[in-house]
Amino acid sequence: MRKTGILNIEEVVREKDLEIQKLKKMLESTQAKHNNTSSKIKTLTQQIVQLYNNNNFSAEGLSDEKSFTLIKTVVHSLEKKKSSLFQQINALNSLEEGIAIFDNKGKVNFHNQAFKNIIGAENSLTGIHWSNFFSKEDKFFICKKIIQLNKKEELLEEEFSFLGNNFKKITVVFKLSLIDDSNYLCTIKDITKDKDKNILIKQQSKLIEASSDFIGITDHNFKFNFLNEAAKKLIGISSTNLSIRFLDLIVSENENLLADFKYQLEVKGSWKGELKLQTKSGILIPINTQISIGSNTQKREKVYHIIIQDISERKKAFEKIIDAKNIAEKNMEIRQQFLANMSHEIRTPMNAIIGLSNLLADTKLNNLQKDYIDSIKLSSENLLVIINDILDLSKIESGKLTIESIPFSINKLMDSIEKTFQHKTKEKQLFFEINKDPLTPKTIIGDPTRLSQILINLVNNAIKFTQTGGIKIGVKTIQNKDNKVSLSFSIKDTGIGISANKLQTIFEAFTQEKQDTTRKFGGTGLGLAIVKQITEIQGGEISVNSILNKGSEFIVNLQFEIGEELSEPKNNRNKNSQSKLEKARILMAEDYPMNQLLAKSLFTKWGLNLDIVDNGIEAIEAVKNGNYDIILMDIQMPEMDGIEATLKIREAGIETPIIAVTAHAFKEEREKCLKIGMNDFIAKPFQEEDVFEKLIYFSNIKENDAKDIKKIELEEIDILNGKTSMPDHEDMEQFLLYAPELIHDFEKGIDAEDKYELKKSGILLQTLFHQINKKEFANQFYKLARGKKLQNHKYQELLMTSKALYIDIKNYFALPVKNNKTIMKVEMDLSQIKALAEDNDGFGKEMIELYINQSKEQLIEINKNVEDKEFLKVGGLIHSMKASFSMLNCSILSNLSIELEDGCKRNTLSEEEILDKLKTFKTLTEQSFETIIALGKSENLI
Amino acid sequence: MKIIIVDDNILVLKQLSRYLEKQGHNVIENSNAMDALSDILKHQPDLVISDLLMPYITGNELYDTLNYMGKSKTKMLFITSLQDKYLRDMGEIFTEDNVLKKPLNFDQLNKKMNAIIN
Repeated sequence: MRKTGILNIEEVVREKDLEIQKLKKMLESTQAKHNNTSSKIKTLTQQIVQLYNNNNFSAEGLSDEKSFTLIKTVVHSLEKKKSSLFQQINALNSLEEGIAIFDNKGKVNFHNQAFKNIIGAENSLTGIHWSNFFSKEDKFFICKKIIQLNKKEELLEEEFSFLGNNFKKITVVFKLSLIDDSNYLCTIKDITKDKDKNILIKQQSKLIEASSDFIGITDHNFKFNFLNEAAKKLIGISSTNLSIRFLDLIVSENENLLADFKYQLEVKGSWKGELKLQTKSGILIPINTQISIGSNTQKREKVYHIIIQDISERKKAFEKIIDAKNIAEKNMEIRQQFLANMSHEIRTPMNAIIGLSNLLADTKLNNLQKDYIDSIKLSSENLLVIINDILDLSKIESGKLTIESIPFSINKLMDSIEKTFQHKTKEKQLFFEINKDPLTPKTIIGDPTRLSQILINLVNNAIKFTQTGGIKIGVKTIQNKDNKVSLSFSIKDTGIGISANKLQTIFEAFTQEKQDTTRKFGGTGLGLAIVKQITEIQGGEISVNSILNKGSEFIVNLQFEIGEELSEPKNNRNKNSQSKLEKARILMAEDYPMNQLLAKSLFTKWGLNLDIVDNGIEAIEAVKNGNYDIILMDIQMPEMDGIEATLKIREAGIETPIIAVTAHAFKEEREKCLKIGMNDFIAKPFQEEDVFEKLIYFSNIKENDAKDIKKIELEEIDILNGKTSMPDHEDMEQFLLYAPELIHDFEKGIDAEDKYELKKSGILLQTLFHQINKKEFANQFYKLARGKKLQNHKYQELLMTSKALYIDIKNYFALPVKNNKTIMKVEMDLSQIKALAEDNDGFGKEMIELYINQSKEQLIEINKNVEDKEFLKVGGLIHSMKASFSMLNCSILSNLSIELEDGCKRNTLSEEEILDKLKTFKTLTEQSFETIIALGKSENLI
Repeated sequence: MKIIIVDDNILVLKQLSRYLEKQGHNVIENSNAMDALSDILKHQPDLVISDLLMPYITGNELYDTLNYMGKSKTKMLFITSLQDKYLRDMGEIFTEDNVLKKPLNFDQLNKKMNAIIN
């Protein structure tokens, strides 16, 4: 019997197809030759009937027509069956599972596409024994399965791996079942990929369990679904009793913790922070916590992944470090305190030694004794150097050393180094060369004092350690870019050199090349440490190359900003502007003969004309008669001072530029000068370049510009005198409200050379000044805001005038404040002096002059030290002045002195308060000069 | 009596020297302690009147130095405008007798001078 069913579907379909084709052909030919083939049709019909029906049906007696119908019906049913079979085959081929049917002899009767793919065969497997596509071991396995199956006669399902194509291990779920006595149905499902995934997941979970971090997964209510071993251990539970909520474990002062978590998780997807975890036994453990949102594909609810680290060890370690740091800092402090104390202890005997040697040197001594004395002096001087070194170093180490940023000439600095050491090198018969680099910018910005200290220290060393040969100093520009220049200084000697193994430690404090170096050559071994530190504070670096007994070379690399070129009088000046200055008529009002002489010689050197008068009255006279282009006005002069003279000159309508010459570098003094109608100021003792630059500027300034400035000043004075109509009160208020901040911004802009800031604050200031009817002044800001190039010193001028205007307008509005100032009157008496004075012996006069001169000097000293921020020294100076005030019963200044001394020495006042009080102090002290003179006159002491 | 006075405030120096001279003393003025030290060694004065807070070398440093050099017999009177609370920080050499507060009261000066000399 032919097998039907699905066992050999393909074959059947193929056969059926052939039969159909055959029958169709026959039908066609029969229909064409109807009459002749009747018998043939009968035969065929009979065959068909026999083929498809085993009944005793006979084709005999069927009409041709019926035969045709029968054949047609058979063909139709065959075609239907065929297409249904095709559909089945297609369905089987589209399955992911591989399906194969093989008989009890092992021959494959049917397989689908997936089976072929999984096995990795290229051609059809039909008719091939199944064992052909498995390896020996695999075959054995499958045989065993088949035997099992035969015994149990039921479905068999096993996971099974075999080597497929290219020896790739393929894992399948293998199902085998009997279809009938002789046929097996085999399905295989490829789970290789799933298998790999599973292995990974297993490894991951092992990793999670092994982790020393607390790892847990919670549901959306922070209830744990999973905890790893470390987590259980930390909490102190053993079982996987997971009815624990994360928030129940946490101790926090933050009441909104949950809300915070949820918010952060929502916004950022994670939360990180330090918390405290309470274990089952009640111990609090500091923890680092990280929470992130995990995905849960099965449910829609969020799950949270929580990772916790126990940081109690870390915290302890950190605390230890902090402790260690505190101890180290305390030690440092003790050390510095010790140094400070030591310096006093050292100084006491030092004072004695120096004092005595000075005394001894004055006595009659023989040559040997003189030698001894010289040695004592030399030793004590060296000892002083050592003490200063130690103090310097402790100052650097405590971060008290500040670095200045001022423009200076590198060439001049090198010249002064040369001069300093010329003598010393000559004495030792060493050559001494200085090589400058013509490419070095003329002016750089930095700290010339510290640079000198570095170079002097290194050159000193070089000379000290060199017996023959000499020293070469060089400066080279190594980079010049973006307004910055990198300079390399080299100090090279032919001295004893440094051995290679000492090169590393040469810059450490208290080390010298050899232990006996100190004995042989002196020094503390601190010099290089100081040099290195000073270099590094300035952002530079120092290195050394040396060959023992051949010499050493120290190289210091430092970066500086390039400054605007300081004018070098005469040489590099624009001829045109210079010629204007040469023709200019300049008047100087100055009472002090030494200063007159100095000015005269300076102007002669420059080839300029200069007329000098002795006081303000003469100055006014001279200005009215002579046609001067520039006036240099000393502030403090007898008869009439510079301030009054300037006011009178301006009142007379004379616009000539007036430059104040003042020793008082206080800002408010400068502001005052500008306010009363002066155009600029020069500080005494004057810097040649400064004077020359300003003369050039004012000899070239257009008359209108000078008028501009002056008009503003006059306008302002008018306002203060109530001559000009006052602007709207509201505008004024607005001005007072906004001006300080804008002026501050403007100042910041100048300091930082920030063009944007200047422009921005400039525009706003223009508006403000315009509002309060300071139109001319506003226009200057307008120029600035429109990007008109203004000279640097014009910015300063604008700034100062703005400040002065602001202060005056503020004072004008706050009259009580003004009254306050007048209440502070300096009262003093001369009873103590008078008690000691005798008639006409000049003691009273001497004391009064002494008071004024000494106080003036002290004010200048104070000012200097304020600029250097040396407030301790300021305190010392004020302490000294305090004695004068108390002698003169000047309680207001006495009290102010006590307050200021305390403020400066013991930090009872802020820097701002000190500066503020110092202003008052200075004003009152200056007032006291007038008071004491008046008193002296009335008491007939003068 | 030979007296050396030291004060960096020259006004005070002059005032004191004027008073003492009027009293008939032989006075040497010094505006700094280093010069004073030389003068003290040279002239062996009966009394040194010294300001306390001076730049470079303070009054008590001068005292320490003299002691160090075996000149502990030098008699010293300190004049100061320093407040009491800060005076204690300066050292333990100060007694009721050897410190005179500024502004100077000459009656007290006489009293203290007598106390020290005798």
